[in-house]
Amino acid sequence: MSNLSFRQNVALWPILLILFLQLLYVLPIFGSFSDLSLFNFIEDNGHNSLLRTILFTIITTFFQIAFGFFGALLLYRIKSTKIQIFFVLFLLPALIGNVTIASLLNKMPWFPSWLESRPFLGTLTVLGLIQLWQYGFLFLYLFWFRLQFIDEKFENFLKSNNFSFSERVSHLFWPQSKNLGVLLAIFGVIFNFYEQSKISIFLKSSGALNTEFISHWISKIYQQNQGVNASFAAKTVLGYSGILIIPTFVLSFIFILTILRGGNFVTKKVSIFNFNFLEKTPKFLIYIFLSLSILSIIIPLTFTLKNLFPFYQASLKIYFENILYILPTSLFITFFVILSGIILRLNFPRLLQRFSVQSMPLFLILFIFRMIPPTGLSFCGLELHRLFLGKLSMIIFWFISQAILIFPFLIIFVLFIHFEVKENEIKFLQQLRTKFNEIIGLLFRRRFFLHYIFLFLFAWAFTWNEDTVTEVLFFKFNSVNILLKTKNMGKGLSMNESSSLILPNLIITVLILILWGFLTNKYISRGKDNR
Amino acid sequence: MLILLFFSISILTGCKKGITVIGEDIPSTHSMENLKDEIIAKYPKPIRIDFVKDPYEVMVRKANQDLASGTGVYDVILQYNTALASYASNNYVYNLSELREKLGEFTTDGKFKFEDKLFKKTWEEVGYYRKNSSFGGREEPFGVPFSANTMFLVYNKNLFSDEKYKNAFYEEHKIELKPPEDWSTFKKIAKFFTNSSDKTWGLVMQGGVYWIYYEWVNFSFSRGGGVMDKRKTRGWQGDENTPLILSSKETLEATKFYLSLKPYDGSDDFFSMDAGKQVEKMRKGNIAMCIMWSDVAYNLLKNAFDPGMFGFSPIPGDVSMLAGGSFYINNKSKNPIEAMQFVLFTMEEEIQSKLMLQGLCSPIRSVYKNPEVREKIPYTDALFDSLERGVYMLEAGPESDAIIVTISEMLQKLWRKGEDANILGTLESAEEDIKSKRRRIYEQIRKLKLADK
Repeated sequence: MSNLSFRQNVALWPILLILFLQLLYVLPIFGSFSDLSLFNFIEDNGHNSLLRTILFTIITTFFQIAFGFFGALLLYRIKSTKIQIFFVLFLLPALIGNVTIASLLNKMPWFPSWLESRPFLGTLTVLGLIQLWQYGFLFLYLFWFRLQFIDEKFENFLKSNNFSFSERVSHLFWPQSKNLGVLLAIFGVIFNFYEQSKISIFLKSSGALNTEFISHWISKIYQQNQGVNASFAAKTVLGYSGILIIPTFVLSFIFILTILRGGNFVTKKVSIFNFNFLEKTPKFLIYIFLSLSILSIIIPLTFTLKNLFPFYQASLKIYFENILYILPTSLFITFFVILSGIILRLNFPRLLQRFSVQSMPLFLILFIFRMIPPTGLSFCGLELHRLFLGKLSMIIFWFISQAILIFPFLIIFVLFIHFEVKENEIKFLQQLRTKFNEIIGLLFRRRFFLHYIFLFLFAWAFTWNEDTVTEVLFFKFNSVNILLKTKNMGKGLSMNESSSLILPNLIITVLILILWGFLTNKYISRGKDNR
Repeated sequence: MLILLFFSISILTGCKKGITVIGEDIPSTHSMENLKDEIIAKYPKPIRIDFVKDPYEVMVRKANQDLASGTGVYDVILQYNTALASYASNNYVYNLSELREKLGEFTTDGKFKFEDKLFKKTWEEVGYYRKNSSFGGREEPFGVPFSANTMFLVYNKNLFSDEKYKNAFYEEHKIELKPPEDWSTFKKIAKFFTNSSDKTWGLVMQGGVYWIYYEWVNFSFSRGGGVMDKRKTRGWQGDENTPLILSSKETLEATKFYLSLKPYDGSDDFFSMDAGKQVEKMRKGNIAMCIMWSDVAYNLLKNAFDPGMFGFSPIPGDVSMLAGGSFYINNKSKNPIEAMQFVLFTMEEEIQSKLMLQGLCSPIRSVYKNPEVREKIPYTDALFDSLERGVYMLEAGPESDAIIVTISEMLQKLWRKGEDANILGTLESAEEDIKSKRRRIYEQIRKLKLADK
């Protein structure tokens, strides 16, 4: 920080504040390492769960990114805005969240008999497909969205100079998407490595059945050790949670390197990796791909909804309470992140213009907090919030915990989208001594208006679906998501009550997506007209 | 504006003297919450009672953390007997003598009125503890039972009373088709009703971790098998030297019998079947029987299309499981007297009858003679008979959770392998695994006790 100007130091304050709060939050983890003899990873059979989790994460993340990028390249050829409006449905699986998806899977009218015995490959494949369904389509949408802002003039120039499709991928599409690929790789690693709710609710985790991932194993360790006493049990969970940052960090790093370096390798060897087939694919096949993709989202939902309708009972009061807490929280966090992102971009015009060897450490540090297992984070929350036992302070603690949980995802997304702002643009305006609010208007507000709306959608969905910390805090409003989890497991299971929670959830999400669809459609068409 | 609104609502709903009760999100807890106003009316001064209901694992974490950190957020904890050892030996909760002392005006001859009305065996199973947990030494009650649970047989009366099935069963077996009283008949009936043309199944069994263990012990113990060699004692008794009988001849035979029921199981997905899913499955009407937890039987009837289609009886054999939970008063409670009064008022017979009508399995014996309860709760007799003949089946020492997980995973492996399973080898391996885990747990307990000194 000594090499930075005063303004640059000040610009770092929002990030440093969040990092500081995150560090405070995870202090209980550091305290758990006082007695290393507590940890017997091999004896506790953690290695099987860890290996299974690593294998699952690598394969699933790879397929999510590959599916997302190549799917986007295919759909890029659909130029009709009337059809593009349907692409927003790709966001639906990610926005409804893990617990809703698991609840819907629970209500499937049939269960594949071959899955009952939990065969190793079959089970991981099914789980991988569910993850692909949930996040693969999100990644596809984000890649497609990114491609909408490609410079059409440059693309036409390449076409008119007889660059093949493969060459256009290597010179234009991939370089423009590479940074997004890195971002999504980090997201994918974290979401896949710490997948918990869907397995717990749908298939039930078990060390005997290929369904115990590392998150479940940590919960099991707690359960087994609580007979000693609660503090001891919590200590082992916190300790293991700290240790598990290492494999998550390493996996993320490997993926990032693979995308940055490997992507370059692939694009250089265009003759071997030939993507021309994507351009030669007949249009009708692309429409079939699109239809199948959308149907794969709609059909399972509709099919299961059909089974939910007989049980629906109104529970709108709970929704009102949730909106009252979650809407201001997600609005505030979005605003804070956008402002932080703008300030950082303006003060680090060179460092933050791309993912690079120099900027990578900053990005990874932001994510270390989220590389802690959700169970570990929930225990940190439990340990700490005994300091905040008054009703008001509990609410503040909840608010802060939501902010620091989601900050890494949002800030990295904001920093990524601000890569579009060129260093020379910033320097030019700074030289003219343009006022801060004018810079925001010229460089950010109009250009990224849609992206900021998307950011808010993400913040909203995240906070709505957050089930790690909210469920263990002593303060609890009637979180729809937590209630839904309760009504899907164990003795508390109730088809009626979970149906009455899922339906409004789905309706709200679809309405939000319809609005988003019209907004993006209008914005993208206007943007293309202006170009 | 929204942010201000959000905070002002929080302030307005703010503090008032009261107690907080935490429990699992099940009918037992719901019933108490539903009768909250009646219980509050019994207090001499106005009071607020808040209920926090969570899934079991979450409830355990929150309660444990509160007790361990001494924050006293939860005044009353509705917990099961697996927590008994930890709560008692770590002095997290008041024991009954302390409660009797604090609320002396409510006692007669040093006892609370409800004490003589409880199912004694249930109380000793879920609420008593001997801090020196080896055999010998004085045991004392720590918790007052809030529910007296068991597992009993639930059967589909429509299937059992169908003349077609009655005649066919008699034809085949020369005995009447009725709820089975022995395991051999149980299996015959299960096999009989497993019929692909009628799309009926004999059983729906629970295969999820923990749930599979709870179901298996019914088979194991009623056939002379079990986990530890401590017959006619309590789940919380024993220590790291108590011999294990997992690989005994009786347990082996019981496990073979249990696994032989696999062809008659009608769960679509056995390994995800838990108590709640089992209820949903039975409601579909094509399953003949199941062994169900008593504290979810209320849910079975509550929203059933035809509640009258279910019949209830104790499990086959001559013993049933004793289970349930206790009220634990946090010894860091800021309102311990009010917390204890909550327990006292809840344990009044009139309140207990009303609670039973809303799903609680009451630990008070006389409630089961209440005419309204008998009329409206069809499982009253089955529950009563099960509790009267109940015995220890569930481990409740410090190593209980480790045992439950190990046995659950062992049973899942056996179920998966089916007829090719090496049952004895697997039981022996599980026994060794339990010994090793148990040793580590007790070692850790000793270490912590030394550190405390």
